[in-house]
Amino acid sequence: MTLALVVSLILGQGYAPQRQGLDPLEAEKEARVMRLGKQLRCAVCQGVSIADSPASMARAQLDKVRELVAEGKSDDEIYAYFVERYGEWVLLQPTGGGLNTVLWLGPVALLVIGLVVIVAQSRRKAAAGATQQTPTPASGLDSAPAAPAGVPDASPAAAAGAPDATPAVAPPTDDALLAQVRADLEK
Amino acid sequence: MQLRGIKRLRYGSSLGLDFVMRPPVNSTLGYGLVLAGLAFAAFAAVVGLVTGLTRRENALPWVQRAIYGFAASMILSNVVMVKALLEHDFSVKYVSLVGSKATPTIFTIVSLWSALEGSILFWGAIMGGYLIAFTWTYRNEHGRYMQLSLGVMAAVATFFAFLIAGPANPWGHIPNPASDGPGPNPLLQNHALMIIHPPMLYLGYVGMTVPFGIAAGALLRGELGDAWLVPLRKWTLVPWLFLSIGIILGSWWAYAVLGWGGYWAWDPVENASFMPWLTATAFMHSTMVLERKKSLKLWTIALALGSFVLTIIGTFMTRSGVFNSVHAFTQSDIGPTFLIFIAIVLVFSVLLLTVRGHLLIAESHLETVWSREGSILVNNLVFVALTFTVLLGTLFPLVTEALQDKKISVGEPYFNTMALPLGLLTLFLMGVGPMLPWGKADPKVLKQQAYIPGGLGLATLVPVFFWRYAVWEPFGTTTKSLGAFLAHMTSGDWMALATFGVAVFVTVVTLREMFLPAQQRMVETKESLFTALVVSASRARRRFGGYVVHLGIVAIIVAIAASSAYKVAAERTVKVGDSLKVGQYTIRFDGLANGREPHRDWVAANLTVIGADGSEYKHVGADAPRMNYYERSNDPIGSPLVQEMVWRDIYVSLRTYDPKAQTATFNAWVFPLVGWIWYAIPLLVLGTLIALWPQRKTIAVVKADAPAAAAAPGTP
Repeated sequence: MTLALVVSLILGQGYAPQRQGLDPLEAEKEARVMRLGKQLRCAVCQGVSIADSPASMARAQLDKVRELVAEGKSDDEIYAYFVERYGEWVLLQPTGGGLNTVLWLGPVALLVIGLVVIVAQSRRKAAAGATQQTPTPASGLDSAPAAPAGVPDASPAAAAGAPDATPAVAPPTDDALLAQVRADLEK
Repeated sequence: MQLRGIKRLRYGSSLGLDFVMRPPVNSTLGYGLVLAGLAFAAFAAVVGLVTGLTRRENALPWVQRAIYGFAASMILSNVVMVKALLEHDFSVKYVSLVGSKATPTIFTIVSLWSALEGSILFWGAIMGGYLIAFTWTYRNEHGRYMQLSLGVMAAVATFFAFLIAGPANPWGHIPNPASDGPGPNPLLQNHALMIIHPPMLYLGYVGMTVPFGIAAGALLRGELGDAWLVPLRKWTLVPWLFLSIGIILGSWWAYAVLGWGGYWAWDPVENASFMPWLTATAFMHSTMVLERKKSLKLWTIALALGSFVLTIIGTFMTRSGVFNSVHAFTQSDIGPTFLIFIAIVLVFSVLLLTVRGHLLIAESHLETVWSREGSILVNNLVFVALTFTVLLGTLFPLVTEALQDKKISVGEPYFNTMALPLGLLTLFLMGVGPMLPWGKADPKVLKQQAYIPGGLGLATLVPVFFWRYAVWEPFGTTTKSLGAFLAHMTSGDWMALATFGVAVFVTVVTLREMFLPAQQRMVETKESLFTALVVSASRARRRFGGYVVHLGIVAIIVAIAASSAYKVAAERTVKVGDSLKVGQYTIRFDGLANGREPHRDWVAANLTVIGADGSEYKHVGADAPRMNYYERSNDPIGSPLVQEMVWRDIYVSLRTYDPKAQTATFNAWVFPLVGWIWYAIPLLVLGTLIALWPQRKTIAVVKADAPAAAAAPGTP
């Protein structure tokens, strides 16, 4: 390798991958080339777009995009050109439709369902609060029986029998660390 | 001298005498220690879990001793490996894979984690370190809490010790060692950041074992003692900090080494480290609700378990080679073993949550979304949605390939489309959350509080917008009308603009929350600003530390928005003496230079960067953009020139050069504010340390002043 480098330096070849040497188009078209290039995957790199990759192959592909843009092809035509040659794999952003819908709608669905659950929770609480007239203290720390879960041998069966809403009543532990937590939280 | 040594070695091995010449001391010792570690870990796991479940608490000392034994064996095994690397003992398999006499000493030590087997071994040492620290900190704790937690942690340690002893054994013995090795992967010796980036990530990944152990132990026993909430949070905060630093350093490394002008490519391995960070961050917030309102117990525990599962999935993604990525140098065949482990951990976690989850009873419920706990819930939702997006996008190509036998890509455009709006939402919540009180917000008070920060946020948009308009490059003078500018603003532009506005809003809210208690003290006790700030901060360390971290995150988000939306790029081939323009800078090509270092040769393009005011910065030789030629790699590896400044970086990478024609092709960028991503690290560290600092010493003082603290309006 070292030898090859020395030889290449002497012979004056240097490291010059075959660059087609297409110059950038006028600003507005070049911006479009870059935008399209961002969406197309470089064939020899690792998950990088042809607009970002320094590989010679990617430069050649970007030049192809320039050519197509200069010919006045539409975005879809240009994507189709690349998909035809390299498969759907070449698109860094999968198209909608089919299984890909999951990819696009999954996170949105999660967000919507989550919001519905949160709002429903607070509604339910509001309704329950109105009928029972039992406001929970804002900070449960100052009120005495605060820590049933902290009791070492609180019978799981008894605890399990009680549904969510009713706090199981049990004396707090005399754990040293618990006191520490309380002191911590008092601020 | 050296030649004679080699000759003797060859002669010796041809006679089959290599055992006599160089007995495999290192590999035997190292492997023996790994086996000992495996035995200790397995013992601790079995004894801890069995006695914990049967509630025989007198076994604790044995579990503790076994854990100390595991840690000592693992750490010593690493010491032996470093020794073998430094001695260039090529009879050790791992040394023969990554060692080379030409590699500088520092990179020889670093090569401990430059390939799979070594990094898993190193992983074992970190695991040992965490287990020692945890066991020692709580050595006087009652067995009823410790045995199950330690047992679970030891079970995880057993798996890793098994990996090191079997599928990823670095200690194999090579009978006829070569006299020299290939050296570590060139990408890894190209930059000093590589020395600390991987250990930080490992410290983050491995550290998640501790909260996993605490949470799983609590579920196994069916109780989450209040006393364990603080340790659970603190032991998540530590790996969280390391993970944050590791991720940021990784992006810095990618930026400074790879030369494509970016720092984050949504590479599967980057995603792998991002996911547990997201869930751990969500955990850190939901734990506040847990401590204060005694609700969200199951959810919080699920986040702790999930963070650990994601670190294991992340490790699998990095190490198994199922993904194409820049990190592909760590591929190996440990995939199947890992998959089995992931399956076990997943089933175990889900079982625990379903079978034991009902024992964790919520003692309060959400009253309204317009409260601190409501905002934290929404925050958690956004973080989980973000995690889900990243997971889905990363795994989707595998899914389609399996189901439809079709190769597709999910890359940067998808992740940016999905994640950036969620990121902006998170930023907004960072401002809204601190303004909301626990319980229920009074709309009137809320409105009053929102005026100043909201107004300042909106006011920021005006100067930013006009500054952007003034420096708008792409369309030159022909279309420099406001209408054309608006028409050409991309979604990225709008997003960046919104980000700056919201960032100012969040910063004002955060600073107000930080300084208000101090100001109150100054009025009441006539203290100086500094004293008042220190006292009020030490009163509520978690809160104060959390806000410092928030400020760091705001800096990072602003830097990401500015550097991606407002970057300027140029690409040109120039002759010696000619220059290219990028933004307000002119870059002149001064000619080629070449040089040699022990482990590489390089060719550099000397440059002069000329600022708008005529100031010149010369970059010559090693300081200029280069192509590096390594023994091990056929393609040269470039290193860009990064001229770092406070407000912007100039970034030039050498794409090609031609010594005959005396030309070179450059890619040049100006990235505004990009450095603030890494400059934020100290803020994250400072904030985390403030939050972690033990409270004990000040307890007496705090108690004495408690009424005053309670009176301060900023205190929750």
